[in-house]
Amino acid sequence: MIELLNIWKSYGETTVLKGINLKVKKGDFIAIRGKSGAGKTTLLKIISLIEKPNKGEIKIFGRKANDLTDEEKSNLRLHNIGFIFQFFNLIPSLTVLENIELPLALAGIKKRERRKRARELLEYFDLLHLAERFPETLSGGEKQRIAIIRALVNKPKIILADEPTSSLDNENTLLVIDLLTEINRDKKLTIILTTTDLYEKLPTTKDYILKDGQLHTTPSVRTGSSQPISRRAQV
Amino acid sequence: MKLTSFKYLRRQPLITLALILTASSTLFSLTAFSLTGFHRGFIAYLGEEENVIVIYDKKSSTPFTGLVPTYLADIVSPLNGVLEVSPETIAPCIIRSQAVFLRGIIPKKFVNLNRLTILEGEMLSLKDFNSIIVGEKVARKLNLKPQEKILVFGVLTNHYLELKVKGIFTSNSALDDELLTPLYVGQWLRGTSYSQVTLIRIKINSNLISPYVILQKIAEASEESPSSGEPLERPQTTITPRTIIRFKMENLGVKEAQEFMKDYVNRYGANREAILIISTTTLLFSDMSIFVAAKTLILQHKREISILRSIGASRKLLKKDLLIKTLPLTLISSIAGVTLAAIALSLIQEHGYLQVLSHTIPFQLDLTILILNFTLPLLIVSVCILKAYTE
Repeated sequence: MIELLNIWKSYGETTVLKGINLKVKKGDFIAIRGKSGAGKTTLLKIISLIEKPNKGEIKIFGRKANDLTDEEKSNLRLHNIGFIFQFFNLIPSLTVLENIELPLALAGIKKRERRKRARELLEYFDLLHLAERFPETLSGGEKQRIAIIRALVNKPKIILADEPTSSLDNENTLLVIDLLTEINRDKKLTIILTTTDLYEKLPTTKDYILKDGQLHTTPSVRTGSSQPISRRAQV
Repeated sequence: MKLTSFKYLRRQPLITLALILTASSTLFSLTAFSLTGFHRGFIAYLGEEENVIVIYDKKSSTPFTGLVPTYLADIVSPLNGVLEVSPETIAPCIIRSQAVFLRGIIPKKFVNLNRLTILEGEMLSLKDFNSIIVGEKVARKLNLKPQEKILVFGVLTNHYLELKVKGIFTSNSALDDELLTPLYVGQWLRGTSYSQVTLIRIKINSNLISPYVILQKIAEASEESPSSGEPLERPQTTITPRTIIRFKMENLGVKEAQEFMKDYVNRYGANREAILIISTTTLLFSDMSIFVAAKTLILQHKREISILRSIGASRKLLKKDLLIKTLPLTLISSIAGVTLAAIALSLIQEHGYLQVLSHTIPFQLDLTILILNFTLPLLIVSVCILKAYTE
């Protein structure tokens, strides 16, 4: 699905990634652990083709990223990748509904249809009552769940979650992890998640530590609750 | 457009950009309209028509201070193609503590070069020894009414006279800021003899005669001019005695009225191009603020832009959408700037503050200024957005 071959990335004098190799298969749940500034976000940006590596090759959905134009990369991101961020990254001047509609609009879906789809998803996650609210009026957990819905709305093949739980309390952290686990398990969606917590138990299939610009494998443990989404959403 | 309906740009930074754009546009429009107004008003001072030419004193440093022999009017008058000859003396004066320009004229001749409409009172005649007619703007400024008697001081002579306001006129020209009086009254207040006037304006039929022919005729007269003054027969159109006086041909010029005034403007480097450069410099300085404001707008929305990029918006799409969202605002702000400047200039004019040499600067929308005013901000904002780093 995604293959990184000898990826190097520097910012000025600082080399953040030093020859990263990574293979991601369909249905993988990958955790990349690392301290702040280790290069986790850079790695996700390279995987999502937002940033270019200084050296190395990326193969994504069978295509070489080096050969793609910005338009093609954006299109690939739009239809195949869902992004979840540490600070939720909802656009503050748009309502919850509009935030979810954004990827659909970029995909060229008409207003009525995208509104319908966004509402359906909100309803599925028991969050329809937040539809007309602005992000600043939501709690951290609510914001992250809306961000997850936005990442899912275009039915992507892979979710990139950049420290999705680091701004959340324990309760919401569990909720988000459970949600991602369920998405991975039920929808067979590939997930790459980064975290600064080197010891947090995560339901991963592969576990890496990013240290000194290189990826090191660690054993992974599948955890997580088995509560249905609708009940968890009410927590 | 896919993103057009999403208002992801926050209101506050957009308002700030609009305010900076409006202020810049106002500043530029005020400067440019005032300067071009001054230029236009100055050049049209002696008449806008191409068939009005002027005999003037080349040595004088201003159009109001030259001296030419009055009898040249009599030399030029009989030439074929000369329709009217108007000798005029311009005298800077003080009335009610305000500086004004008074022009001595032969009314019958003068009205053939400038259309005057009497608003109140009566028209001046050459026999009105102690009368003046007053331009409507100066009448308003000095609160003058017909039949009122006013004391007029000649600045260059310390002569003073009590004159009666015979009428108030309008001409829709720079004359509305002046007072008109019989020629000899103007000459006395100017401190010249009756043999000299400030300039002679001539209306010609340009198919029959050119300024060059008139210049030639004057050159012939200069060769015949005596070494000292001798009395001349009094012409029927004037009641003042004239004498032929010696003059040097190289000191005299004959040009179209507008060209004559342009010469003075150019002499001080204040031509239209220089004025536009000065105004554009103002615009460029204010454009720096526009540039910074547009850059700031992008920086303030770096997060929104990065979110949109991460969910699949291409750079091209984002730039296009940012242009769609900011360019109408830029245009509206520029229009608001011009409108504010126009209102401000009208108010300033109405209160008599916008004047040069006691003459109101005419305010008129100038196409070049409008184009500059609209295109430069649009260009700057576009460049800012197109060059923006939209990762």
